[in-house]
Amino acid sequence: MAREPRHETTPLKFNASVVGALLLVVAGSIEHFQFEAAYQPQNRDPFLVGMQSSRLEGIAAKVPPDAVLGYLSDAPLDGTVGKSAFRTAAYTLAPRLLVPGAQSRWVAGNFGRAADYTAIGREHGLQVVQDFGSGAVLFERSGAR
Amino acid sequence: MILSFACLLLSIATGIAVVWKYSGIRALTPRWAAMLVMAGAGTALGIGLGSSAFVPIATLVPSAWTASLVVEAGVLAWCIYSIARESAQAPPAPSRWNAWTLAAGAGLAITIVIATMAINEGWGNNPQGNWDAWSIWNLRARFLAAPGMAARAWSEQLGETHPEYPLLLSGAIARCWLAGSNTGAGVPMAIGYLMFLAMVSAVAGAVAILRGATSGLLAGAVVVGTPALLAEVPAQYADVPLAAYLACALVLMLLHRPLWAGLLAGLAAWTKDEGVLFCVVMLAAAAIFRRFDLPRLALGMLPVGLLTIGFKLLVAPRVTGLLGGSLASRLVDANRYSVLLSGLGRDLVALGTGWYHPAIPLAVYSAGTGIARGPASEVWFSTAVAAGTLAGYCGVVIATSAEIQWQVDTAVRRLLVQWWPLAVIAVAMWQRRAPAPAEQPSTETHRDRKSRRDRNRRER
Repeated sequence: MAREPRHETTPLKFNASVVGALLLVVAGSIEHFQFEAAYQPQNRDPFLVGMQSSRLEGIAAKVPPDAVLGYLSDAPLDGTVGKSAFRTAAYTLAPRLLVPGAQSRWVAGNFGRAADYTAIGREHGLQVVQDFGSGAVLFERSGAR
Repeated sequence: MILSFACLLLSIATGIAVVWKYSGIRALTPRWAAMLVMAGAGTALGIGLGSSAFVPIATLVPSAWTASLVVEAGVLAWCIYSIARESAQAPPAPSRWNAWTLAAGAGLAITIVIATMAINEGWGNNPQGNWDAWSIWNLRARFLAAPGMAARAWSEQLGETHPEYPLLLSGAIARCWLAGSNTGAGVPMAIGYLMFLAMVSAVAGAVAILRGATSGLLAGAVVVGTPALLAEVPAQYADVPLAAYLACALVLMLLHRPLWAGLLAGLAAWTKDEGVLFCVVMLAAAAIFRRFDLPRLALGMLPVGLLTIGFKLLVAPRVTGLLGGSLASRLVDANRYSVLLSGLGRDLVALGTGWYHPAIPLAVYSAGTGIARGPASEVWFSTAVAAGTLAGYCGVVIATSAEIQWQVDTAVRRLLVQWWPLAVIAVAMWQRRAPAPAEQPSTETHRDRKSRRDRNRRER
């Protein structure tokens, strides 16, 4: 007759391991929560994604959703600031496709400092459609209308 | 927004109903564990299949996408009707609980509440998620959600933001956004969180079926209480959905549902490129340990696998990293291995936080249960999949043409997050089934107990 397999683990050892593991998991979760509660407020929206929708909403309202939008900025695209400014603008303005450069009919200007936007546009054969403030400017290719 | 969530719930309900009706998992015991597996795998399946159907429809016939919702609702209605009929004919036996199972269940519930509070800190402070969320996954979802503009999701002009990446997550978000005519942050948050819960549910349920209720609930709690994994949920990256598909595919294979395991593994491939590697590992492990199941596993992978291959070869044929430059010189460069090993060690430790590491409770509980020599199809298969996936990830990091230090610093932590639930499942398969009497569910009802006490009293 086949014998029942003998358990080497005692119930006491098993019970202690269940209690120990449970307490560890709960305490560890509390530890993680405390870490997140301290860490997250210090890293609130580091790339300012949230504020872009109000900054760029004027451009989004003027340009049709299927447009391909050029992009001009005073922050170089190979730097962290320029790259994050471009990416956040691309996300905010989607489904418009944002492409670096001024080749398209519509061009979004995303500037960190106030400048002579008319002169910047003229350099690229563009005219200012509207300056929305906070460095958000919409350009259009001259004579495109 | 309500319509967005209704669309998400429709996918999830359909997925759960299909798994309930056709997988045969509901016949497994304990019943609550089978329900956890069905809820987890069904949620992942529903979200995945909904997205997989949506992307081709949004691309080829955008106007027909609402018809796909009607089809989905029809499938759901049929499944509910037939499940209700079958349940009326054979009502299921009630599940029984013992003290340790209840304690482990309470531990899991408490851990989920605390984990949700931690995740909520991330949501509150960064509702748009982290960098890759808004520059890759949610950006492409915005294109897919705009009628007639789906092709922008893989436009060459997206440049560095990987237009060749698979589209499951972006498609799932876009579908709900389109339904609600709103691109609010609530949808990506909800999808990430639900996929996280789906993974926990599937792991807890499957381990409970295979290694006992307490082991299952503790395995679920260990996964929930993994700090690095929790940090990825509010990030809104594809790593948590991918981790859910990997875990669901493995547990379905362990529960001898190879067709369903293949389907979930195929969805992993449509979530992230790492999912393709996982499919290869699963097939190789099945060829060694589960040869009989291999054809059905491969068949399950086929539908979504073909979608992924078609997308990669025909729609967005851009190869990143692996084959560029001199592959041979990278493979023999000892410095690359040294950088990888040091990064791997650092990020394995970083799965925890402060004094806590999720391996500690796993080790404590394993010490209590002892090691089992269970069926090779469970123990060795799960070990081979977990080890093979980690080895495959390491191989890709070594082979990629990207600068190794940058690759290790930016990718290894998230690769470990995807892999960790597989490791927990594999460790759980090595545990001995928890000993009686603490583990065996009591079959004694309150009335039985009372009559036994009365009988004893009379005998005395």
